[in-house]
Amino acid sequence: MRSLKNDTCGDYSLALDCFQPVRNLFWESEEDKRLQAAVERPGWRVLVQFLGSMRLAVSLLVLLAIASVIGTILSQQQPYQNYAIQFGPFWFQVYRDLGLYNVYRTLWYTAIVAFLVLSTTTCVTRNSPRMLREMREFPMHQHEAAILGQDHWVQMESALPLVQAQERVLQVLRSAGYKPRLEQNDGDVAIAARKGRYHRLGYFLTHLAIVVICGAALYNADVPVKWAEWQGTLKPEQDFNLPLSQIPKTAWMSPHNPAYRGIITLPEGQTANAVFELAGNGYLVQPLPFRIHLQSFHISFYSTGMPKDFTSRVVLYSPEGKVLKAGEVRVNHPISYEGVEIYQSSFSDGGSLLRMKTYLLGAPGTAPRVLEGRVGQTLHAGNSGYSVDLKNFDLYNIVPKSAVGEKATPDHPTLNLGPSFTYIVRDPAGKGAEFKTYMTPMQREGQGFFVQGYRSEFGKAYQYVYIPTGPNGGIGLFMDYLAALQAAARSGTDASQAIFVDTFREVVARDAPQMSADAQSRFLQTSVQTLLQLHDYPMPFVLSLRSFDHRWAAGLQVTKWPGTTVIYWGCVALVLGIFILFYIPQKRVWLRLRQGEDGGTRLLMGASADRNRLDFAKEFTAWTKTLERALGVDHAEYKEQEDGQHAC
Amino acid sequence: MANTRVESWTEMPPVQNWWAQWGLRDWIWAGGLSVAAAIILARYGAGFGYWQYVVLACWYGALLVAGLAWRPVQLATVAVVVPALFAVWLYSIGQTTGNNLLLRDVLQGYVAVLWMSGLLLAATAAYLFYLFTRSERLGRWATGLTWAGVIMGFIGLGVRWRETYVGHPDWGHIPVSNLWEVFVLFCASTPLFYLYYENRNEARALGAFVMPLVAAGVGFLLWLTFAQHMDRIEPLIPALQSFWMKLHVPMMFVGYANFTIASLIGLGYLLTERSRKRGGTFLPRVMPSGEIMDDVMYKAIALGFLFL
Repeated sequence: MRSLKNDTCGDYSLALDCFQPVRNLFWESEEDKRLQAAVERPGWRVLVQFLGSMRLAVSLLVLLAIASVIGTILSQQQPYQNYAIQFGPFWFQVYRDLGLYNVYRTLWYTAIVAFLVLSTTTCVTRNSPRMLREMREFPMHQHEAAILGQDHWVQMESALPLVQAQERVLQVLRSAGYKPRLEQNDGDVAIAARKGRYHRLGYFLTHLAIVVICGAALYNADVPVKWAEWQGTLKPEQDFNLPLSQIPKTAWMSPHNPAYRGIITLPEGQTANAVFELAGNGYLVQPLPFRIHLQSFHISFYSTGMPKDFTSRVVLYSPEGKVLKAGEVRVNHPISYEGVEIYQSSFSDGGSLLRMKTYLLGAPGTAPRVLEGRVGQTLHAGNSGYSVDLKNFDLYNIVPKSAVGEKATPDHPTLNLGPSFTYIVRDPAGKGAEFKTYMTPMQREGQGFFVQGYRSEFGKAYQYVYIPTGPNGGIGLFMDYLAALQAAARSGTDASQAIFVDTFREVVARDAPQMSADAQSRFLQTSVQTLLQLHDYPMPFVLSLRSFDHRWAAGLQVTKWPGTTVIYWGCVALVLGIFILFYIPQKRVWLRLRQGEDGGTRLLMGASADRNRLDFAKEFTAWTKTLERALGVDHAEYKEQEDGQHAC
Repeated sequence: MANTRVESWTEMPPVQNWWAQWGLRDWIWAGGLSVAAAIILARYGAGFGYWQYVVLACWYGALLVAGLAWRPVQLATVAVVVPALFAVWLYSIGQTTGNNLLLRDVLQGYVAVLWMSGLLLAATAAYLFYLFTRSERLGRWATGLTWAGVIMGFIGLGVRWRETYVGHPDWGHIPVSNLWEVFVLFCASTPLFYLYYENRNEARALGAFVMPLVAAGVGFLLWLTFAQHMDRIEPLIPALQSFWMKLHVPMMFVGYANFTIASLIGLGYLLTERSRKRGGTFLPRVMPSGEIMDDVMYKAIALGFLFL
């Protein structure tokens, strides 16, 4: 630090200590400046100067850091309406135009990385010759002024003759693990030694790694596509419900695209030859060089109901139908074919076939109707004007008890509710409500209940209706009882307790005469509660799932990133470079021995290390002590060190 | 007169080879580690994939180098491994936290972590008192308590690793998979690295700056434990089922621990400097010299950077 002739080094110098040698390298010294002022500088040279400057590189890195912070804090690639709600109309637009909803995909982010590559390349090219020269050559002679300019120096006088003194100095240095070289000039001996000759290789490797990593990342980022998007020749499609064949050609990327990453949700038994890349508010289509066929999908669960592992069996076909490769895609275990990697990323329902029974709440006496459809379809309930969107099907539902309004006990915190399906019912006026029906009844004090969740506003928590099950495990008994009560109410009977009990007796005698008295009383009690709950139920019918034919869909991510291998090597170079920079400091020592008039020897030793200065100071002190002993020195003069503190 | 001293000087010995500098303990250390690695290979090697060799080699190399670079690591490793293996053995012979007092009150992963928390909090208090009293005895207690806390923390993690398998063999995973577990790792590894810098520089006053943040980490850990119940062992989601977990997370925490230490020593440095400039005497007297603090910061950042 002391050797630095730089007035930019102020109070923050300590924080920059790590970068010090880098600064020495790139910030020009006074001498450089004088030299440069002497030659006339053409414009391109100024440009190179600017590109290779440390200031530019640091500014770019700071910008990248800020962009990455935004990319981390703001959840990326959400649907635009979420952002609109979050930020309000004005800021939503500002942020959208800045591309903050997908920072890493913006052109400006790419441009910063590109500039960083350019800047670092310039820097390396400019400084490499000097660094190589320094690594190769090590000057034997230094002016006395230069030796006195080192971090440490000592002057000694010894009574020993020159030859003997020089021999002992060499021994001291050798025992410290140095390989000193010696040169003689009439009555004047120069000795020089260094360690950590390859320290400069550290800079070289780290900078090269930055160039390589950023360059490969740029390749992976597929700049031409972003350019085309910016130019408007490539337009992301915003309708997510279009079949592939109807997606306009302006949303298709080239099949020869050098790098891409897309996703696809593929139901079991189906085949795809394109994947989708999210872009802004819409998506782009990337045709694949092969067709992916999902043979089957397997998923296993932990006892808590959490997915443990999921696997897709896929077969890759050539466009002509030839089998190219078959294999299993597991989480963290992709398969690859000719540089294209297929990763397992998620799973969902692939259009399971559901068979349901509909019980009408307001029409006593009608037999339950059967409804059948696949997840994803919209069904129409006869000509009533009601429609049912089958949204989702979940094969396993091991849920925390609290999630369905039950009290959790420490040893039984969860509940198995079997398969469930979610659907939205819209009445003829278009008003909708969402439902979630579980197939396995839960038990509460000996009575079984079907759990039926509903909510009239999306995003709100479900409310639950618990419908008691009869002796056959279905909700038929309850529905008959409800119908009988409604019939009684219509015929003008007063609602008394006796009516509830009598009607129940009649229904049980008709539907389930084998039911025990205990079971009957439990059923009756709980039914009354359920009738109260049904008061808030938003639709006039109840769907219950009878059977299903399950079909999974696998969420696959297809990636072609040829730069990845290069990035790995870049990382290796980076780690190696950092290791060299931090742990192989360059230590240099120069000595001057001169025959004194009294037959003794005068010695001047100066040394510096560019890292680990404290350790080196200790090492230097140890040498001088040994030298004093070896040379029988009575008097030595040391460089005055500032008291304990680093200063500029 | 000078000449007599010169004549008595004999030739300097040549540079010693690195292995000539090893003491008996170092040889035992290297041998013991090799034997342990050989036992692991002999018992489980048949089922090893290439990455298990990588993980084993990394741990072997790291422990070997760490133990040679800083000898207290040798004893500390034994102090962690022996009780942890003992607990694993207790589990293997059917002992549980219900019927074994030692497991229930000391060695069980969760309880060992509570011990760690208590010891580290006590150590923090001791360091703070030490800063003001400069009592050498208190200082030794502070260092000792920190060591005890670190050892209990790593015992806790080791035993918990086994516990992830107990009762549900398919859940097993290295205990660095949720916030609670990584905070245990943070609370145990930061003081460990701090102890290294303290020991190397004989700079105990730094503890009063480093340990309060560890204590804050412990506080957060206890909140996670008692308010969030995050100490429960949960199975691992598919995305985390990767051997990188065994390398990536421990390496990251070498980085975090060192950066934490560097930042807090930086704070100590700035406060000491300010106090010195304003003519204060307390901090400049009790704190190590600026050069030492600067050097520790540099080394901590270098090590952290390498592992990050």
